[in-house]
Amino acid sequence: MSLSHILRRQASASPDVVGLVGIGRTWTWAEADLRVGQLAAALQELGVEPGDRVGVHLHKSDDGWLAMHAVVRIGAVAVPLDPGAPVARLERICSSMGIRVVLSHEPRRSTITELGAAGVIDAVVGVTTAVDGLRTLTTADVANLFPVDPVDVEQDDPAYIITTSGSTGEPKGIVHTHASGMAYATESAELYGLGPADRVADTAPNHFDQSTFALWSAPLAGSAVVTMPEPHQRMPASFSERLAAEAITVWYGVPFLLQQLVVRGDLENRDLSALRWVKFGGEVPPPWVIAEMLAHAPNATMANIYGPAECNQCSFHHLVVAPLPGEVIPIGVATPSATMRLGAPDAGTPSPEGERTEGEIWVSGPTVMEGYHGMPETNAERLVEFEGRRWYRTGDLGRVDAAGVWWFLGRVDHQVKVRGHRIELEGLEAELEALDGVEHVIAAVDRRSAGEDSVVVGVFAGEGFDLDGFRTAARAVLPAYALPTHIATMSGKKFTGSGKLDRGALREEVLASVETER
Amino acid sequence: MNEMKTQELITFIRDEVAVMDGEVASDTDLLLSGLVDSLGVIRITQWIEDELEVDVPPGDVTLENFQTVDRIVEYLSGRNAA
Repeated sequence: MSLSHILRRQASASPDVVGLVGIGRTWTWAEADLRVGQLAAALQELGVEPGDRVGVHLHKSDDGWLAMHAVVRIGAVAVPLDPGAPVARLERICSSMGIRVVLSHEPRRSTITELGAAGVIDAVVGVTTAVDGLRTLTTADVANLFPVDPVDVEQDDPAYIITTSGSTGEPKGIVHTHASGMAYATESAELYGLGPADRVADTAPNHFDQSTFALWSAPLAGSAVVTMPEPHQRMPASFSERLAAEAITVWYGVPFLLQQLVVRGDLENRDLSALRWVKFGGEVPPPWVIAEMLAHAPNATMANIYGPAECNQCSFHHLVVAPLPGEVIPIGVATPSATMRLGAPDAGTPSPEGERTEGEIWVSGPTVMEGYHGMPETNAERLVEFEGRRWYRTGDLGRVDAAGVWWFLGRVDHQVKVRGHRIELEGLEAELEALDGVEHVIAAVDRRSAGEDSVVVGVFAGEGFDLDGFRTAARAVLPAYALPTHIATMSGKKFTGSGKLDRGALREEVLASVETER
Repeated sequence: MNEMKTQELITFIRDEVAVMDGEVASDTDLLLSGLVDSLGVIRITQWIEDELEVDVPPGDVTLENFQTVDRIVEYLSGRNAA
């Protein structure tokens, strides 16, 4: 079995059962399979071959879900592109991944047009009318194509690539194969007992690794997928309305959304009794949010999921009873297929089992990525053979207690999460330092209230620094979640005794300037 | 909400809330376009509560009521009538 065949198998087993629910329309498994076959035919028509990377640039929608399946159906590699990212960032991703063809939809037309005008891409599928300068297959064209069947792929062929910003500001592509994708799909479907009676909320954007649960695990188990588009996610009361009306049984989301839902979701007027699992990952919401959610979803268990996008899920901690105020939630125990180990932060390998109780977390198992796209040096450093197994070095610090339960202690580097999105502060600083008139940028995360973290920056610049110009330029290169909510102009001492930029102290200074302003 | 306040709200959204540059009109889709993110919705709600001294219960902050500035105006006039 490969990711290419998941949908076809479900369509053969239960063709007339509704498998995908969009806004105002539904798809039986057979209908979804037909459309995916036609989209795949469109890609072939445009010359896409197995192994080619194809951009998937759509908002959270049934079309976005179908597009991902269409790419893997013909053995091509899906690269979901953040629908909210500025064009400059998308250009870099498309260039570095060699993406020439993009599956998209009408709401993304302007971005697609710009990518075409910049000469970055050649063709687009899924808009309603032709895009100037691009070979276009419209939705009407696609509907006239003869659907293609899933192709046979090798288990270690690449299937999809999740991009994150690297420490230099350049996009980093996390390559998952059919084997690693299927290992996660199978294991998570089993862990959460997914079956045909389940209705899984599809919340995470496709370029976010949490989306693979609704994308692969749900159809594998025959669970219906219900799209939760971005506008609903911005309106907690509408989001909760849809959770209730669609009788969602499993939801995997980020703590930010969970907190929004609890505070502004009007939950006392919603029937969430169908919910069996509320899974969250990336960060941990405050205990009161978990407690409120458990109170409003009487049949739900909550799950804290740990796992960088490089390894899908590695561990879990399940909460049936509300935690106490101030209680720290562990990342729990390793999934059945994963082995977690600790290493000294500077060591090139994990330590032998049982030697340490604190250190950097290393993970080994079938859900671990193949590697970063085109980054042999980083791969050699992060993916290491040890004791006959292949290990991924997470860069996360952890502790394991006497009962074998794991606890997350922070990052080795300066990577942070803002509303569930991974940001490497050094990468962000590098991107902003490249802007006109800027000397140094210090980025920090403002944690004024848990679940609503935001990026703040301090800027060292020459005379006549144009703050508004800086803000506009930042918008052109950074995704919305990474945009600084506060910009302080800095002056004075900035170097340590050894002449290095004293980022640690300066971060404190930036955060202090936010406090003063409040 | 009077015409002046409506303009003030549009200016507030354009200058302080929008995550993208560009003009905002009373019928601009704030949510589907991605112009306003989750924090933006909260800030708009707070602006209404502070500037217009109207209490906006969480259950009213829906797609229907907040999709455009026109819809917000309509929602608020419904509130006044009630």
